[in-house]
Amino acid sequence: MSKVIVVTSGKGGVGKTTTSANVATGLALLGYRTVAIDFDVGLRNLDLVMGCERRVVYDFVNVIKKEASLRQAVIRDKRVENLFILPASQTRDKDALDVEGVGRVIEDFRAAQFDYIICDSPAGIERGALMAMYFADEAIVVTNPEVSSVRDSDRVLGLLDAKTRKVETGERVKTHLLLTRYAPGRVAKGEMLGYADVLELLGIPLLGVIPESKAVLQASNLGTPVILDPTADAAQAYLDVVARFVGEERPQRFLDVPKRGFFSRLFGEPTAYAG
Amino acid sequence: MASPERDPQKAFTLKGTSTPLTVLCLRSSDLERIERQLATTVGQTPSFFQHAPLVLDLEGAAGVELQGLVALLRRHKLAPVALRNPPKALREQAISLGLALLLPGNGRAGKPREAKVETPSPPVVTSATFGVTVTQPVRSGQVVYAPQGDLVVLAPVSSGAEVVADGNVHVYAPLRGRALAGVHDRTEARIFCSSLEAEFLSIAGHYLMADEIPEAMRGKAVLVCVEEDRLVVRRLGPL
Repeated sequence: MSKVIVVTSGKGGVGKTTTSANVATGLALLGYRTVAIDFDVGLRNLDLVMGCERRVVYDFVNVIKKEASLRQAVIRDKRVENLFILPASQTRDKDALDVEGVGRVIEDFRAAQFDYIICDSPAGIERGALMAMYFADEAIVVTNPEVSSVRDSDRVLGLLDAKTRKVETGERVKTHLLLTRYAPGRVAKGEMLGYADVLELLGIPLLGVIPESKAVLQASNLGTPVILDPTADAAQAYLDVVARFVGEERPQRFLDVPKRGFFSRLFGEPTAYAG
Repeated sequence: MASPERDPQKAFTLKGTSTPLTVLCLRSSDLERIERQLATTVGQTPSFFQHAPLVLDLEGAAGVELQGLVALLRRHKLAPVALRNPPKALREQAISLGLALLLPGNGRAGKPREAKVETPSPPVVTSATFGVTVTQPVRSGQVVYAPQGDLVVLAPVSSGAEVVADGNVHVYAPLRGRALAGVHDRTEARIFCSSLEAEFLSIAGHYLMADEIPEAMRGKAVLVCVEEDRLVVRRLGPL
């Protein structure tokens, strides 16, 4: 039975696409047949972050408009088995998305025996974002530790409770909080909201905390999801997140300021967080 | 409270109920003045007043001409159903006009021997409003409105959310958004919450912005009510 997961946030630039790429890659690494769909029609990014931008021939909108088959449009990842990408169209806008078309694509993926269908939502709460969440079984709400991001996430949680197919059938979309770009040192100085505050404000279970990390930016620019570089702390964090998502219990990490060893005290800021 | 009877022989059952009603407190016995104010008030929110059951309180206008008043109210599509604390002199006349008598110290309308007088005023008994109860968090951007009754919220109300009721607003969790009670000028409405972190509080048009809420009340269990035309925030429970 396929699971449809929307990665959403309301606010832009908090790490939805990064999270979609890494969670999809992580699930595929565990052997699950996974596809990531880019719903950001007109502002295509997922293909860049996953390093397949030069292999895009047909896109999501072509499939919705029946100009191409799913088989033609879906890109198979070269590094990880079981991982597929359906890129967004760069030349169209979100009006090209409609419930019947999106529903048909999701049904086709279900019929093709995919375990996970990851819907990378655009920012905002308009058509693109609503289409990305409509068919979701579960939602990963990506939030940065700052008030505007928390408020936008709260808004999106309200929409997840109101504007999805699950709600129409009397069920609820299961929601998970993913706190990204978390810097415990800045939390300690009072420059950022702490995870406990965010959890209290949003009131949904914490899937994980991704530490603020230069490796994430580098990985995005290289088109290699950071999860494929296990030396990076953010990769460790995403591996934890994926493991928890499939039901494994793992303690939360990256919540507190790492203890500084003798050498880092001598030579300045630590470069990696203690695991 | 009469329990519902399954006996097919019985044509009806009696049920006790408590229904919110609007009370018209007269401060003048001048029918012309009353009519002028009525025309503007009803004109502002005609749908709310459409055939609304009304209890009359004549304490401030003992000399009013009752028959004329009732006719006036009915002309404005209001449904006077009862007289609260009626002066002895007006009781006979009220009964003859089809009004029930609500006497002090008695939760129900009238004494048992007057009970038969109540029966011609069914609106009071049948239109029970239980208000609205919400068990899920009210998220930013959501609005929950309880028409004609109380709103009870058993989960947090987020910043940017709005909870609105014609009656009282109860929030048994942190209230971080906006709360509006008694929105149709019901100054007796109140707001209750177990942790006051609100952005805005309003009762019957009186309001407090976030900055005007006393700092000492932040995060506390409080009730908010109207006293002398302004909003007052008070601690709830043992101090």
